[in-house]
Amino acid sequence: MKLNILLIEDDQIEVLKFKRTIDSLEADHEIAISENGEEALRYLEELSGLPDIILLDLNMPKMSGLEFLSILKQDSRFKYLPTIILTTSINRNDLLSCYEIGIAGYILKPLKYNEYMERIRCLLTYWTNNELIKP
Amino acid sequence: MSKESIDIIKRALAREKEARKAAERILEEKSAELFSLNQELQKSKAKLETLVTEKTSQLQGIFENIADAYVVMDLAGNVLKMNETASDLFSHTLDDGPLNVISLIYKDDYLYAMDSFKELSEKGHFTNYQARIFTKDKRVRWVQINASLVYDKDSNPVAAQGIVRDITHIKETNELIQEQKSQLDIILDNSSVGIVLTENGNFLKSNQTFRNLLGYSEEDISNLSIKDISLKEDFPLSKDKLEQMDAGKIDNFVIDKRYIKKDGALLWAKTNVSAIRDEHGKIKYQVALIEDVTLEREKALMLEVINQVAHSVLGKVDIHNIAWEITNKIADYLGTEDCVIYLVHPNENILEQIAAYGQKLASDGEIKDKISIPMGQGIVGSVAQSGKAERIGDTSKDPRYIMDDDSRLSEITVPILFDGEVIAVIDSEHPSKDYFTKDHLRTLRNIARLVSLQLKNAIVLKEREIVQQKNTILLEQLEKSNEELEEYAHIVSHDLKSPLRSIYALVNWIKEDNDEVLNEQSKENIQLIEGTLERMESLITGILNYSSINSDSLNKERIELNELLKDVMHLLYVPDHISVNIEPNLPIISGDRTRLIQLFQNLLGNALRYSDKEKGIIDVGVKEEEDHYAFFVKDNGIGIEKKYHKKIFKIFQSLNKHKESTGIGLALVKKIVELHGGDIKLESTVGEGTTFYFSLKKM
Repeated sequence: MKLNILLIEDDQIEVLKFKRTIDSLEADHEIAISENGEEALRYLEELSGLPDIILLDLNMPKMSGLEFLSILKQDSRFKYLPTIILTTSINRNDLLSCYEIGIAGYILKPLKYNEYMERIRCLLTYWTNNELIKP
Repeated sequence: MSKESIDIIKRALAREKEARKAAERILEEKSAELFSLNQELQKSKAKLETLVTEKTSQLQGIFENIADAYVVMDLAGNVLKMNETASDLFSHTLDDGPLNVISLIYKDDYLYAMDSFKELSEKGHFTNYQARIFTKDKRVRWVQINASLVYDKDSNPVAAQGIVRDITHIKETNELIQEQKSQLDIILDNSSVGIVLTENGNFLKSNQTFRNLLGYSEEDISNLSIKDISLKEDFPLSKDKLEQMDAGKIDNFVIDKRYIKKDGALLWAKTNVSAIRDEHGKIKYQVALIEDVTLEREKALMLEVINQVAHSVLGKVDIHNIAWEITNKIADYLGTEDCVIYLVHPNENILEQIAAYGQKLASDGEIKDKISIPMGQGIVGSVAQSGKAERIGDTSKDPRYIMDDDSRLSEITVPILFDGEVIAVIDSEHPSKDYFTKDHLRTLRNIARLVSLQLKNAIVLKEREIVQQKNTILLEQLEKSNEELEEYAHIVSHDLKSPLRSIYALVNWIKEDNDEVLNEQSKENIQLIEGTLERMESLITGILNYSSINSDSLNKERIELNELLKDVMHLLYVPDHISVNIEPNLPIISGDRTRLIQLFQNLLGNALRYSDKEKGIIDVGVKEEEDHYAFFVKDNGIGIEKKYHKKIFKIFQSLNKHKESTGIGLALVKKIVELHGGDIKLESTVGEGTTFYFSLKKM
């Protein structure tokens, strides 16, 4: 089963890592990339359908991940989109805020690439096996 | 003898005889004349005598009928005649022997008597001669004498007559009255109370004390009425009482009222008014006793103002409130329009006006044109410096005087001392010269003493408030900067970790993509790069951990330490040759779960990491103390040199270049222990092992 994934990430290498990981998994997922929250919102507005899941980096220029999340969850069209945070550090406040607003997961980016791949693999496997709300 | 001679003699004898005969003849003729004359005289004498007897008996009748003594004497003072009253008075009758009036004169009155005699002989009479006589039975009698001379037909004085009245009794009565009067006057005049007798509000009589009190002479008083010397403002006080008295409802009342002295000054007097009524009950006179109560009043006023001040500042903690109360009460008491309280600012060495009364007070309750005076300058400044109160009668003569809102001639300046230091100054001015009295000064000193403690407290409170305010601001700033720091730490760690991850990924890809081309050396180098990146990553995590813990971030909950340690053990890799023995009955404490995990994870991690024995042993135990639990984590590892015992708790102090050692672990441990109300120390012997002791506060 393939997933339509929206990755919101400003770091080019992180994007590369993600893409390479997807490639290595040999899974047939569709990946859309937005460099920041605004771009992502625009993308969602223009998209005819909706992505299956969103992977969201918190530390981004312009609109932060949290701001994007809030807008997303307040919008009746997008509020059921499972959004998984993909971030660098555990900041307790961030963690609380994210769960408060509503997230479908909070994953730390590990240092080691292998570990990263493993986590992404698990994540995608999980969501591949999940029932999703389809329009 | 010759014939001739005989003849001569014979002729001479004959002539002589002839002459004698002639003489005898003349004598006989004359004798006859004389005889007849004598006969006539005798006749007229007999006539005269009858007349005299007639008169005498008439007079005798008068003598006997008048009550007063009557004396007739010759010009030498010999009594010719006197009546029975006179005899009784003198205790002497003419039958007892002659009597000269001089012998009756009382010796002290002698000169006066002689003067009177002189007057009598010159003028022919005297009246109302009053003197004492010394009677024959040796008594002293007061007499009043009216006397006149008696003349013969040729107007020659031949005798004197006098009416002598015994006035001893009258005199004594008069004297008694006089004495009693003067005794009364002495009492009246020496009374400390002014006494006046009035009739319809006019003065009939006043004693010396009254006149002294008010400075009027007796003459002044006689032209004045009670109203003239009373203050109009006080009329209503007495009006009601006087009406009641007139109506006969009361006979006496007492009021405190003011009198106007001759010099215009006022005298406070307690006035006790009593009515003296006639037989019909109508008021005839009023007697008023006037007692100077100025002093008492001053004292009462003094006490009153002190009381008022004490009462009004009671419970007040705000320095301005206290000062306002004081200025108001003092200005009221002094009767001035100007009163200011200055606060001493010892650090800036100036005096600040903190409360004012009168012109200096603006409508919004603030001080108009607030001035500050440097210590030592002006009268206020010098009082603040000397700590000695001053009373200045004429400021125009005092070069120190600083004009504030207005120039005034009198000034009174009193320091408020606390612990020998001037903390504030009370200052009041009055336009008149020499206005302030010693009593004013005394009162102000008392007030200063009274309010000193409270004012000091208020000052301390104010200072404390300022400090607290500063602290609050500081705390807010600290909180903010802590938050910022935490935020900063996260951003930094994110920004630092991201490139590390990227490098790691890139290196990894190089290795992956070139697995066949890379020689072993390169592969090893790549591994070294990876190791370095890992250390760097854990260093960043450590810093983040360390910087993000503070008391605010602690999430205290009930922690069962045995459970917690099980979790910790899951996080740690324990090699087979090391045994970790955890006391099964660790206590339950209140703490932050995450931080306590970090605490044990670090300590146990170190113990595991630095184990160099064939059989490593790690013990975790506890000892209960009064309000702490004393824990220990003991190992038999490499040990730590004494000189590092303190250093290891400092951040970035890693003793070993161990892969996992960041130099943050023990600093973090110390911080966590301290945030849980405990402390940490260690005992160690190099080569034998280390024991960390740390305490955690009981729940």
